[in-house]
Amino acid sequence: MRRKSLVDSILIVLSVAVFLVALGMVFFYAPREATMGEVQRIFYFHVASAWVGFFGFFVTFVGGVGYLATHNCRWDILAFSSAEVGLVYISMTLVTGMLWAKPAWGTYWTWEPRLTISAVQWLLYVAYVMLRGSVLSPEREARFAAVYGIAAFVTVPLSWFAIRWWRTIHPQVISSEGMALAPRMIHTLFVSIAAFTLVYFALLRQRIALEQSRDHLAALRLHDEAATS
Amino acid sequence: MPIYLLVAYIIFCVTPLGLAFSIAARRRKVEREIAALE
Repeated sequence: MRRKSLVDSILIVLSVAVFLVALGMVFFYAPREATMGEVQRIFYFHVASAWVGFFGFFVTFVGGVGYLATHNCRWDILAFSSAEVGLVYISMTLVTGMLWAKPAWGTYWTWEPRLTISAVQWLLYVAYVMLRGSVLSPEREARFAAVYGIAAFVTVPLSWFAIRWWRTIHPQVISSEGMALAPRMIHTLFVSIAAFTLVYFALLRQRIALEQSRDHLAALRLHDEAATS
Repeated sequence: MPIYLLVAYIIFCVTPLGLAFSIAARRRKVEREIAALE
C-alpha cells in the first residue's frame, strides 16, 4: 500500500515537472512558425493530447481483449478507466483544434475526413462512458463494454490514416519521409508527448483506484444486504 | 499573444487538473461510504 502511494507521488511530481518543462519549451524554446505565427504553438500540446487520447483508447482495446480472454474484472477496470481519461484528452484535442482552425483555416469546424472521424470517435466514447452502469448485471456490462471498446477502437487507425487516404486540409506532419519540422520544434513536440503521457499514467492510476474502491463498496453493500435478510 | 493560443493553453492546463480533482472527489465520496459501512 505504502509502495503504491510512493509510486503515485513520484509519478505526480514527475508529470508536473515535465509538464512545466514542456510548457516552457512551447513558449521560449520552439521557434515562431513563419506562416501561421504564434498560434501554431497550439500544435505541440494539441498533437500530444491526441496521442494520449489514442493511447488511452488502445489501452481500452487491450483491456477489452484481456477481459474477454480471462473474465478477470481487473481488465475491465483498466479498460473503463483508460476510456474515461482518453475521452477527456480527445475532447481537449477537439476543442483546441477548433481554436487553432479558426485563425488557420478561417473556420472553427469543417466536415473534412479527419474531423468527421474525430467527431464520430468522440461520440462513440462518450456513449461508452455513459452506457457503463446502465446494464444491470456487472458481468454482462463488462462483456458488452469489452466488445464495444474493441469495436470503437477502429476509429483510431481510421483517424490516423484519414489524412493519408483522403484529400483533406488537415496538415500531415509525420510521413514516410520523416517529420516536416525544425529540430527545435521536434524536441518540443517529444517533450510535450512525454509530459502528457506521464500525466495520463498518473490520472489512470488514480482512476483505477477509484474503480477498485467502488467495487469494494459494492461488495460491502452485498454483504450488508445478505446479513440483514 | 493571440487569444486563441492563450485560451488553448488554459484548456491544456486546466482540463487534466480538473479530471484529477474530479477523480479525487469521487474517491473521497466512495471512501466515506465504505467507512460508514465498515
